[in-house]
Amino acid sequence: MNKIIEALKFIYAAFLEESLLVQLIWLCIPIFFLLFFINIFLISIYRFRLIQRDKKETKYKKTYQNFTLEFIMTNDYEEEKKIERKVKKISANSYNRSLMLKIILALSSSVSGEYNEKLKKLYVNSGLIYYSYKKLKSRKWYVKIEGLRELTQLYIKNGFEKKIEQKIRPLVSHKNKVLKGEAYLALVQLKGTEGLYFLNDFKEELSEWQQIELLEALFKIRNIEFPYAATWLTSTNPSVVLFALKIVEVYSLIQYKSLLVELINYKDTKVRRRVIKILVKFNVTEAINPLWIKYEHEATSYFEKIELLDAIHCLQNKPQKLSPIKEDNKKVLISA
Amino acid sequence: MDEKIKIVVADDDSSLVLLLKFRLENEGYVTHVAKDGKEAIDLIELHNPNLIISDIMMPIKNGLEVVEHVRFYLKSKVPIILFSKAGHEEIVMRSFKLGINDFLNKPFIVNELLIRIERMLTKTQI
Repeated sequence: MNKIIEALKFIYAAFLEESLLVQLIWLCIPIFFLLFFINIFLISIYRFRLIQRDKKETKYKKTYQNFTLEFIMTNDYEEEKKIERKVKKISANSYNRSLMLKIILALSSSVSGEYNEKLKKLYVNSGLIYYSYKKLKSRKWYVKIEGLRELTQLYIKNGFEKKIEQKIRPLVSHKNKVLKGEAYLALVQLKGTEGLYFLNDFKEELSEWQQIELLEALFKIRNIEFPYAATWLTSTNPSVVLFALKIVEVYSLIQYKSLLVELINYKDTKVRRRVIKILVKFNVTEAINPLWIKYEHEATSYFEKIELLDAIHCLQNKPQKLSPIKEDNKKVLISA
Repeated sequence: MDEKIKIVVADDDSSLVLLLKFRLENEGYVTHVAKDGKEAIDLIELHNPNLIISDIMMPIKNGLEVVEHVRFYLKSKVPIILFSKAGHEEIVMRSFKLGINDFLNKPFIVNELLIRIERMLTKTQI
């Protein structure tokens, strides 16, 4: 014991003799060791909690899965009501509620038809829908998104559509872009093409990704109609026009060919190029003269001129009598 | 003695697997379930099933790797049905090239799957 004390005294004396910098470095060593062990301890606690959480989840998940499967497979009204009451009771606890929702959402994204309808029925009748609706009132944008997704995935005509829609509409102009995008999708999923009303007077840019997501949502709708397509095609917002053009192309809305011809002179290059491709695809021969006028008087870049000539050639389906093409650009002349 | 038909079902979604197990056992099939590709391969090698139903997206080994293992390593011609949420053309084409017998996009109607299973098993028995 004395030897240890002597050794410590010696180390302390040597420590005091060193310069300030060396002393600081020496002090860092035990501090780092201490931090290291605290870290290991915290990680162990966290790991233990995760294991406990997993065990708890496994235990309850099996029970709730059984409730869900019993519900979707029974045809007995009393049995259904019994299970709805059970689910309502367990949903009072937030952990159980989120687990129950997780199970219903996962299963509903895997099965369709009768089982899917029963899952939605369970979601509504057990009261879980109210919790999703409450999420829309949250201040946190990611909680709102959770609510949106739950309501739209498990949507069923339940009498609450107007209330839900009233909550979603303001989100279309929310400052958070992700939430806004989810709101667009939610409206389409709830109201079909009517849900795209916001495009009628849309001032912001509808990104390529948002357009793709909206189209995917539209693909799921049967017997679809686009009452506002003409409004979108005449929008001053190029991204709305581009989205409308995608719809025209995918759904072969040939009835808008006169509007398409007018779009040859649209201010935005991307729109003009897309329109030209669609006109060729639909074989709109009425576009030949406007395309010629564009080529002779307005097109400036040789890429544009080549595109116009290609389109005219495809629409005419024969070599154009090219006397005389007044063209200084050799590449364009060769293409002609 | 009539041997019962054995089916291996593999999907990381335990709720779906339970549902399919329940329905298949109701139809009289012996059903073994797996939650990932590795477990599926172990079950296939152990039980030599008459049919395999698998999701594509699974942890450890995915559905396509399971098909590869069955067709090229085990050299088995057991009928295989794959399903997936992301039913992109490439994945579907690749699955058929590997030798699956049928493909279903999620969400699917469970009764439809059962009819397809019945037809497939009838075909293989003929």
